[in-house]
Amino acid sequence: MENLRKVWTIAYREMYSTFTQPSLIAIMFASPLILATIISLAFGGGGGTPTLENIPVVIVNLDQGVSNLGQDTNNALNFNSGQIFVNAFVPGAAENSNAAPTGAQGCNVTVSDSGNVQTSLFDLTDAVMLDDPAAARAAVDEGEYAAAIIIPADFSQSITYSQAHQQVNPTPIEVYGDSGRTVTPGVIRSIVESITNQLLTGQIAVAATIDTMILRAQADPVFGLQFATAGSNFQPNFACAFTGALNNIKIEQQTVAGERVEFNILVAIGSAQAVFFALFTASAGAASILEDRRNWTLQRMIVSPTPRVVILLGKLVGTFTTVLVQLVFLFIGFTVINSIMKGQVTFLWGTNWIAIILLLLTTALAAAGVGMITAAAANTAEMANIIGSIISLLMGMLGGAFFQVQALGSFEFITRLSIVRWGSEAFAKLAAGDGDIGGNILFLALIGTALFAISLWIFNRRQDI
Amino acid sequence: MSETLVEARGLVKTFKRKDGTEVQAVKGVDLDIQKGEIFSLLGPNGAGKTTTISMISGLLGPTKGDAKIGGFSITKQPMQAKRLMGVVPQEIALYPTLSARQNLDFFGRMYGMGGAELNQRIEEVLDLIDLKDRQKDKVDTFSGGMKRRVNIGVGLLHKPQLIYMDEPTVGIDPQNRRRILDTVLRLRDEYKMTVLYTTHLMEESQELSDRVGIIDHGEIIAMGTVGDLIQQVGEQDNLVLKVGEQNVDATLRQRIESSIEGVTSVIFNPPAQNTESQAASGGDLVVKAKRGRKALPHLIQIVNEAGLEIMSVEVREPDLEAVFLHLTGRALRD
Repeated sequence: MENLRKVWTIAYREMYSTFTQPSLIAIMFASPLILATIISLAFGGGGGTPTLENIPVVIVNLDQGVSNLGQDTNNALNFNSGQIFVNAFVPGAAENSNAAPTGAQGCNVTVSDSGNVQTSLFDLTDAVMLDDPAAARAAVDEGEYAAAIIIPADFSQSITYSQAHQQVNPTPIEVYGDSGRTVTPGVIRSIVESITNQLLTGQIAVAATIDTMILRAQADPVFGLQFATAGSNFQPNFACAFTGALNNIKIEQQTVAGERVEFNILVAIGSAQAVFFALFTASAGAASILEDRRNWTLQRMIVSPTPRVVILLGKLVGTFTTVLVQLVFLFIGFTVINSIMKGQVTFLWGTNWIAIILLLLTTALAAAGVGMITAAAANTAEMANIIGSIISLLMGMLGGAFFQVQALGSFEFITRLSIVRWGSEAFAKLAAGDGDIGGNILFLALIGTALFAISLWIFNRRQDI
Repeated sequence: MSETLVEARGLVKTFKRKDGTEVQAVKGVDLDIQKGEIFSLLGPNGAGKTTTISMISGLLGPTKGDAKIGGFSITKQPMQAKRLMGVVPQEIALYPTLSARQNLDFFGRMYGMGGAELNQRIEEVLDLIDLKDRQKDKVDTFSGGMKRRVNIGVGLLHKPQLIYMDEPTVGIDPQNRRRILDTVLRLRDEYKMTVLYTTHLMEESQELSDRVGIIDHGEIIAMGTVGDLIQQVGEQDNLVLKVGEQNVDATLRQRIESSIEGVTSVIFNPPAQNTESQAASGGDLVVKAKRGRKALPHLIQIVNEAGLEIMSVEVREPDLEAVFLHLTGRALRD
């Protein structure tokens, strides 16, 4: 218990010394906020206007379709729900399609942001078709496409309501995103989800219509006779109900989690800048061990009845907490700036609070870990600061703090070495309403813990500490 | 009967150089310090004083040997041993951006103190170091002497049985130096603390210490009271008579040596001829005698009878500087 109190005493002093220095506060908080805001304004992304277009997408439609809607099997309505996705994304596909339901042609899909600006889905995406899912995924991995939409063979079957198949339980459509892109896979995912939802809505309408007709036919023999003799004349046009032509896809509102999606460069640059500056803070914080050694305050702690590991843990906790406080304030700051730009309160990073908290904690852990290992490897505080600055700059560049990492093309995999990349990508996903950040959180937690452990081991072995 | 508080046996510390070779900074030091005494470790810079004390205080692990404080081994029971000891390093080991009070509070907590007990001790220590009126000022606004006093205060906070001070008067003005030396004496006399004091200043060691250990090249070469040490090496008084440009011939020197009891040697340093300043520094007749003050009247009489005019007389009694010179052939300040 006494040792825990000592850990906190050391950590508190670290934070006190940091947060009572105006110059440090300016670097930690003002710099990233100002830089990211300027960059996002310069690239016109501050107001939430869609700035994305021609997102490269590949679609693989494996859907076998269904043919049981019509009463007359000779004139059965071939219905392929997967083709609806193809028609929505690929220009001209509807005209060439035999599998699409009658009337699907001309059901133009539009994308709306805030209901004011409408963009054709054809403008937003640049979609092509492939037959092989593996080839599609490989092309995404190589960075050729932002995402691959792979529609399973039983998709139509799984969502189609009939008397024989009264369960509407859709087989998931796979959206295989390029992990190198922070926003666009999320956009595609939200559109696919949106179309799927509309298909389900249409199915519910079909089910209700057919059930109503059957019930009425059972109750009213005259109507039943007419219904039974209708035969091939019963060809209801449900197509537009499925395509979403009657309901524009509002990409701000239709996401997997039902949350807002922002096309905002402030998200990408801001999150990268925040993690980048957190690395600087972590390096400086960790280097305080070496400063303490130079000032003999470390030796003074060592000659007190305080185990060496307690001193190091205190330093680690201090660095971690300082970085965490910085990240929290920066992400709140970006939210405020974005809200001011948009003229309304907007939760820039979404409202998945548990994911946000976990991501903040693991990002702070990873940044602090990088700082600690830098200090452990250096002999002096000056050397630690220089090495820390170089590492921070490299990670910042690779992580998208200064430019979009897609610019690196096939070398984009290098960016995976940067915790800025892992952190900012996850924050961008959250901002896009995509809660699939488990991999990022796991990586950040593991790298942070590993670096902490290694630096603790090095410090503990060093005779001069 | 006095009780031993610090007991060091065979302390060795070896450092590795960058080229892989080893250097032995401390070569098997044995040391006993009694409760309530001021023990000085005296030696020139680089003699191994700080390394020895760093091992005793737990800052450095010994390559060989061990030390016990109050019966607790510094290698096997370091936490218990450290609780009995306060350390005042030579460096100003304080956080410059914190106030004096915040520094005391922080380091007090490192000794497991807290709450009302800590606040009361901080008040007492601020009184002792005479900095109550500046307690809320940041340390980096303090003068060198004030920083030194806070540095000492931190070491005293937890009422240690043993306080170790590593050259605490380095780089400060005479007034603050005096204040610190007085504080050291108060710690022994009023607070009954044991003080382990390292210095390369012979005067400080001589003034403060109950016992002195002289260390050179990593080894304790002599230990005891100041009087014991001087007696051990058989040092004599130096009687210095300044005679200016007058000559002291060999006949007079022989007469002095043969007729005055206890005189062992007579040396004449003739005045330099070239410049005024050099002339002023020469012309000394130096007489070594076992009981200098007793021999002085007879010496003056013989010199007067020889017709020489004596300009000044000085009796230089043996000191630790002379002891060190005698033991090593070098001056402490070399």
